[in-house]
Amino acid sequence: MAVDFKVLQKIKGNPSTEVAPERRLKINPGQDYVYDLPKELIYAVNAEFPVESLFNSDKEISADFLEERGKSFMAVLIKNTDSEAFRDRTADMIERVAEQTGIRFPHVFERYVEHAILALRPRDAWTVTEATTKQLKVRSFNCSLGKKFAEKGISNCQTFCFAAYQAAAEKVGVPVKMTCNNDANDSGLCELAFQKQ
Amino acid sequence: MCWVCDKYGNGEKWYLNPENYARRLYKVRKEGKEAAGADADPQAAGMGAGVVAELVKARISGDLEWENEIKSDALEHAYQTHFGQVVTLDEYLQILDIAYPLAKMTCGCRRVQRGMPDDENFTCMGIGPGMYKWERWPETYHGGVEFVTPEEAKEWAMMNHKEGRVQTVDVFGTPYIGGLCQCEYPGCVAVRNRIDYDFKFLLKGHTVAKVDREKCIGCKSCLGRCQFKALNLEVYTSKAYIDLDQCFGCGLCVTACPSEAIELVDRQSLPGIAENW
Repeated sequence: MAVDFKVLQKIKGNPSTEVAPERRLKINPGQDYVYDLPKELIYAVNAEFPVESLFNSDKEISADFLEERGKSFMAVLIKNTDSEAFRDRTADMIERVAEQTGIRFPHVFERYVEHAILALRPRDAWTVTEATTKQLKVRSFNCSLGKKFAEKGISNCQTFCFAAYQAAAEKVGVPVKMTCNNDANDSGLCELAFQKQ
Repeated sequence: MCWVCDKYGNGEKWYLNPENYARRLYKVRKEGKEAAGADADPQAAGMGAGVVAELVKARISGDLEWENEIKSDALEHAYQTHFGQVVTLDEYLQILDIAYPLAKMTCGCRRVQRGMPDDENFTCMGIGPGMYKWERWPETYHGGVEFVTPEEAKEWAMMNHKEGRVQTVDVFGTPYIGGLCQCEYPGCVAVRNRIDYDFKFLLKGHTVAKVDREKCIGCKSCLGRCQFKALNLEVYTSKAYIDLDQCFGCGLCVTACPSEAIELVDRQSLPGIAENW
């Protein structure tokens, strides 16, 4: 829709006026917050859920096994990342903004996705290629987990990720549809797309 | 398409590509100064503000070579870190659907240049995941921030447009777009440096405004809206005249015209100015 003279004439208000009471956040002088993910969180998650457990199990690496492991991993991650010991200011602000705007996707969910990647494979290269209120896309380059699965002859490693992120979506209370564009064997590129339902 | 579109547009205008608004929320925490974010003040680059004093010296001395050298060095750095481009209101509204979160903030330029008090200065918008860490830079976010929904942001953008502010996208580490400005000459450092010194930290938009002389009734509603000295009233005909070389394509004149006599046309459709960014 092109905005023209008539449309604009109907617009009233002062842009500097607060949108709603209590919406404006002010600097808290003297506060020293911490941001980003502490290394100790990675150690804590790994102590409870060692990556090796995915590959050294006596059980067959079936779809059911991957799904169960994905759920277990996310439970461990959520317990740790939301604990007093590891919660950071970014998390507080994401939650505050979600409360103020009523919008929980993508970032309340994305926080768990990002923490999962950093906790499981902190040295991997990955990026977020889209983060709108409708869609989130996360692209991994040469996923080290995918590589290890491939060495074991497992090509449906996304089952593990899907199960983990499904658990995260349930925790956040936002239904998402997940798709995976996985080329781990060839270019090593793997892109997960999450669409808010 | 401009050179930024060629590099980062993925086949479309670069600022309509959602990829340029997406960035990770987290990295593994570093120690010391970097942990506090003191190394990455989003407005430290200042759209050329840091080199303008030197540029003025060069201009006073009349040494054109020196002036060009300052500009070229500063721009080379700016195009990798911090620059902007004018967008239309319609494009701005589209952007508000592909970037999140959205936070009203005070305009640092208007605060410094015009001494605007914070309560009257919420005309800038910080966007993207970096805004969750806004408290790291108290001076940049002087006056606080106000997180809004896309719908609230659109209403707010239209208020700003109505008040006559040029809308721009601003890069913080190319091609990541972390800010949407709405400003005016002489308050805006980017507009001012472009107009006064032809310092191209601010690129022209993808459109230019064109007057339909049959429809123009010479009411002058558009005249006060142009921030770029592109609009005049032709003395002999009493019709609006737009200097296409000067036009940045912001569209402020279009929405001020009650006769629908001004329209935006694609810059690329006019060979003489197609590459005039």
